[in-house]
Amino acid sequence: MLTNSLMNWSGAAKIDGANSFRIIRLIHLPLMMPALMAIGAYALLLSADREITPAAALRLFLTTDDTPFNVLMATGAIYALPPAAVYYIFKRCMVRAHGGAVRS
Amino acid sequence: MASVSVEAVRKTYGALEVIHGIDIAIPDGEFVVLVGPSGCGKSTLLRMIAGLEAISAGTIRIGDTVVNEIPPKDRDIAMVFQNYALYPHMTVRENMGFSLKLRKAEQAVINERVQKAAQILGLTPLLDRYPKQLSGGQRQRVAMGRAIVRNPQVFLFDEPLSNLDAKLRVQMRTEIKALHQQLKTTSIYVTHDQIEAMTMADRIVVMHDGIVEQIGTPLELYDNPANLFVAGFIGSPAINLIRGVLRRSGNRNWVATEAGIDLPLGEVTAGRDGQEVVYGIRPEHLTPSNGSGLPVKVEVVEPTGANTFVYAELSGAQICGVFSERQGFTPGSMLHLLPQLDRVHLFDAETGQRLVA
Ligand SMILES: Nc1ncnc2c1ncn2[C@@H]1O[C@H](COP(=O)(O)OP(=O)(O)OP(=O)(O)O)[C@@H](O)[C@H]1O
Ligand SMILES: [Mg+2]
Repeated sequence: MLTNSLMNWSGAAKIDGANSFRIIRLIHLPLMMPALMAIGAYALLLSADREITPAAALRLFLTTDDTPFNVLMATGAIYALPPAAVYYIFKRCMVRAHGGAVRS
Repeated sequence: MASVSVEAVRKTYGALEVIHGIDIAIPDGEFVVLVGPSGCGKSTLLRMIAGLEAISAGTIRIGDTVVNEIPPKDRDIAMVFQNYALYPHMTVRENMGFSLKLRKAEQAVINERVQKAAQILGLTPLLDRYPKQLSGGQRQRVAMGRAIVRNPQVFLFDEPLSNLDAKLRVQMRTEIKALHQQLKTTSIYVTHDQIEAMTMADRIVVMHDGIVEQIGTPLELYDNPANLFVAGFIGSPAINLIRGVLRRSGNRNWVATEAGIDLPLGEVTAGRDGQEVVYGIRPEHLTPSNGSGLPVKVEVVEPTGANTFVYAELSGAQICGVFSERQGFTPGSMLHLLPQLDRVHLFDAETGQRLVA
């Protein structure tokens, strides 16, 4: 349903005369704002709650001589997961927040 | 305003062809309805005309211009979508003015056009609301407003009423038709609802599995369906279709069914003796009679007020009649039905094509 709506919004915007960049800036971005804000909020919570913030933890690795890049990358990826998950969860909220414009 | 012409147009997704060569010529100012069952390719064809889908083969012209390679915004069309696709973060006013703003129109011009469209559609009091503060019918009107502010050459509609309740749908279809009579902009309207097609269209294009089955005015399709598919699709309740063998002897013609019933035909008829045919008679072209006619056993009676729908059994086959009389239909009772002979349709059983005398 979401892709269908985005497709129709994009379709409408294309006919209205927006190029891809403007479609993203004027249509997709505002529509995703609630989700982006949620990610921001989550990131804040994360750093406030932990003794070692993700960023600090990663920096620790960089101080050693033989930097374990594989560990570093894996850790980075793992830390990227929660916001990604939150993003997908909040996508639904975003549709709900704007539910007014679309019926499924 | 402009004519639209679709010539030998095909659409393939990978190896799968979903539109198999379609030709439609739409004169300037006409309101054409594309109708057909789900999945027959209506939206795909409309989106190709809009430029939202690439055209795999063939040519689409708007006015004299071949638009195959022209992007949607330069085709001078406006499209109304099923879920309205209103921008939720913009007010009604901003939604309606958005396309003009993108085209860098002056604010004064935008205001004037939006005001005018809002007035035509009765949206003036709602201009500062957001889409989520509107009812379904109002959103639908905003979607229309967004289309008309630009004064495009062609309006494209993809099932714009299917999210509305039955009553509002009837009201909006009258409004859209009235709007067309006022603006006279060439319009292509997609629906799977044959009543919507019949009531709104100047001409109807009946589609089925990626091909065009027939193009004609609503009454042409109703009176002279070109094949079994169109006969079955147009008209509600649906036409009665009964298989049999055509019999011609002297100037007497009839269709003999397997169950041994002789279905009457007029003196002049198409087809040859012994041909396998399908006999078609619409429910409204059956008349109840005492004694003569086809003997049927009444099964279900549905009064609608104006008419009474009677579903009955004719030697194993289901047959439906629509009568303005109210009396004498009791489930379980016997009834005789006379087909109006000049309203009988004959189709070849094998090809499904109409037999023409
Ligand atoms: N992107 C795609 N990839 C592959 N097949 C597609 C794609 N889009 C549509 N189709 C197929 O094309 C056919 C026509 O689809 P289309 O959406 O045009 O049907 P429709 O007549 O509008 O039906 P409905 O009344 O349900 O809206 C369908 O069989 C569909 O599965
Ligand atoms: Mg469709």
